[in-house]
Amino acid sequence: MSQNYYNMCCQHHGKNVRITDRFGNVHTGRIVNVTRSRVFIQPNGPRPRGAFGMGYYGRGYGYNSYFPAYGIGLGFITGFAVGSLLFF
Amino acid sequence: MPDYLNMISSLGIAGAHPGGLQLTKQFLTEINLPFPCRILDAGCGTGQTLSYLAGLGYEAAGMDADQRMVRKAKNRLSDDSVSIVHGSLELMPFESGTFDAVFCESVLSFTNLKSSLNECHRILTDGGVLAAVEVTLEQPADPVSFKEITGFYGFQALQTEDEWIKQFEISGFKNIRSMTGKDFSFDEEDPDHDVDMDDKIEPATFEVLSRHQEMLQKYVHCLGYRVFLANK
Repeated sequence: MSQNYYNMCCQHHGKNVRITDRFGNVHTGRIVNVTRSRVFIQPNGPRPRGAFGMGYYGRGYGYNSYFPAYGIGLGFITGFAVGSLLFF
Repeated sequence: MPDYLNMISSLGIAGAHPGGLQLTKQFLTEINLPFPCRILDAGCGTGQTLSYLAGLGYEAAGMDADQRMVRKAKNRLSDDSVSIVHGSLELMPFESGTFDAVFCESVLSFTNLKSSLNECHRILTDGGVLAAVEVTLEQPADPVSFKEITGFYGFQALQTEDEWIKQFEISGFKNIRSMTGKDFSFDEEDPDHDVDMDDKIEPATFEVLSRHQEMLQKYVHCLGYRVFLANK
């Protein structure tokens, strides 16, 4: 399933997503980077309490850098939702 | 099944119609349904709309032509209060006059319109409402582009707003109203397309998703959508 989430994250680079993890956290923000093990999102609001991963500032990605981006381990993802893409 | 629909099904993308669940919520207030009321979501996909309708207390039923979608919808609506069946819009497994409302959220375009609209009309009660969110052609496409779009998505119908309205009239619908996304207010950035992915997904599936994104960019001026409301 990690491979599926990796592919989904790559496909939605730069897009607004909502990710839930196995600890019950809900992360909403824009995908700014994807590595083989983590997806980095820049939150639209304050970083959720109890979130993990190293700080990763959005500076240089052209987004508002007020909220730092942070990484979520792909293996911890339990849910994924995407906005701003039109489907028929 | 067209590669595009197979991609939607394999990734289990919810609300795979323009505007997603947010638009569904908006047109639901517009049609002002009586309560209680029996609603069929024809082409229910993974059951996101069904789950919302059931949560509001409506007597909701779902149908999808894709077995995998039926399974994913049943998974979402695990309490059995909502019946979900396998069936095609062109020949629906329901008696005439069964539903007060039928929702088609980006579904009719993939079917034989004449048959599916006749069936929608048949299963509605007198005065019942059809709510359809469907792709529209916003400016004439040259034959090559038209073929590329319909071929990729597997559209059996790709037509203008006026042609849609004519089709509804031919099938006996009255009081036909048409709205664009601009008639509603919703946040297109809000993530509401949740996914219910198969365990194993072919890499080609993600290529189809990429191709879809390219097609949207390429044909951004050609393709639009409308919410159509009509009564039996």
